[in-house]
Amino acid sequence: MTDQGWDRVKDQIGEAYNVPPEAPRDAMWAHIEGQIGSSQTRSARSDDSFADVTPLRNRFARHWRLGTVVAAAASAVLWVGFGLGRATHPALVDSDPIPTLAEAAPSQVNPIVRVAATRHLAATQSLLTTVGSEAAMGALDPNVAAWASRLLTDTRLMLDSSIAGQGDIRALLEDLELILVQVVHASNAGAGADADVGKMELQQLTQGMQDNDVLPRIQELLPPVMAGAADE
Amino acid sequence: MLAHPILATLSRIAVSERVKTAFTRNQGLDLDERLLIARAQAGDQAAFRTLYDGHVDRVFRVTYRMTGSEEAARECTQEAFVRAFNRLTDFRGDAKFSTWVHSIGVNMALNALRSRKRSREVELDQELAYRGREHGDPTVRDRIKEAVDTLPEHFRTVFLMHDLEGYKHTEIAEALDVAVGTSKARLSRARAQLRLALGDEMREYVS
Repeated sequence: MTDQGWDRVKDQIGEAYNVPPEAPRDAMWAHIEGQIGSSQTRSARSDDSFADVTPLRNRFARHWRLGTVVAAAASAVLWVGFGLGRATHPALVDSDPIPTLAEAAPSQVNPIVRVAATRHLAATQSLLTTVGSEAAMGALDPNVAAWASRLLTDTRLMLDSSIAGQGDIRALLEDLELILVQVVHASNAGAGADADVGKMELQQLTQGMQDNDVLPRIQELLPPVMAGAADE
Repeated sequence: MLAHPILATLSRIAVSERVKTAFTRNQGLDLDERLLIARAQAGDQAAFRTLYDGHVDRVFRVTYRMTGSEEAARECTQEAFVRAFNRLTDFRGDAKFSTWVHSIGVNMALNALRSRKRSREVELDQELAYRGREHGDPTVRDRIKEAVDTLPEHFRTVFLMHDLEGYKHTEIAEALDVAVGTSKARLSRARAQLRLALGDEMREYVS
């Protein structure tokens, strides 16, 4: 097919596939205007869910050991958080400490659980960023398996908790569960005798991360301060 | 009187020092957009509306192309602007405002699609919306829809943005947080797959 032929095909597709109607500008503006009326105060609470003014740009973690410490701390917070959340009556405060995840999560989720979940996502982001940079070099550090394994346990815990009630978060956690399993396998396979198996596992892992866009989805849920901390 | 004519004009308009600094930093934004953002940051509602009017159509169109649902496109578009405006105080001008708001909109649409992938109600919505717009032979139209719908998500997104909505690869790369080369590769794969799927139906369009 020539370029000219493809242009005609493209035009036909454009006229047939999900043809957009005229944008309901005024109706949408009425909604938006109502939400930005107190933008100066809202920005302090930071209820949005993207990491930086440079949208969704990944940054590489400097060293995986720091990430391990972050993961261990997040895991401890998660266990304490869920324990406290189950033991205590949720005496909620009006303003959520981490409103970014709160915006996506059901309002009845305990804020302690929400904080733990946010820290868990930040730790997972750190791991996956490290995985991405190490995969580019052809192999994963064997210690990554232990790190991923801890995060996998916590992800499964979150899937059983109230934080996973909302569709987007649940979908992300389910995808993360799969990715973390692949990280564990790829890291263990890389340390094994069969280099080809290790390479194949790594390829499947990187393809899975790309196909599911997990890092942008995590960044979208994290507030800027957590996203920045996770990247250092 | 400042020697530089534009700075002199800025002084006369009594724009804040921050705006002048942003201008002399020579970031990617043009002066008009920088001034608008500065005014919006200062709480000028008219500036918000002007920024919105400058980008809303394109954001709505791409989110509609991706979701096939007016309701979803409205929600994604509204949310993109609400989030962008609520973070405007932190906007440093390192990227264009359009990149920022499009990125949020596209990713909201992708999230909406992933949620709906887990429920089947969208099939009926899309079918009803699709039948409301009569373009060409129904059989060819159905095959087009099927061919595009069955593209892998990341191929389809790039194809819709580039070939149907005219985004450049640099814009797509920023919105999807991928390299420009990745955007080009995905477009190439999408086109190849569509050529394969639509070859027979599109024979009349091949010269």
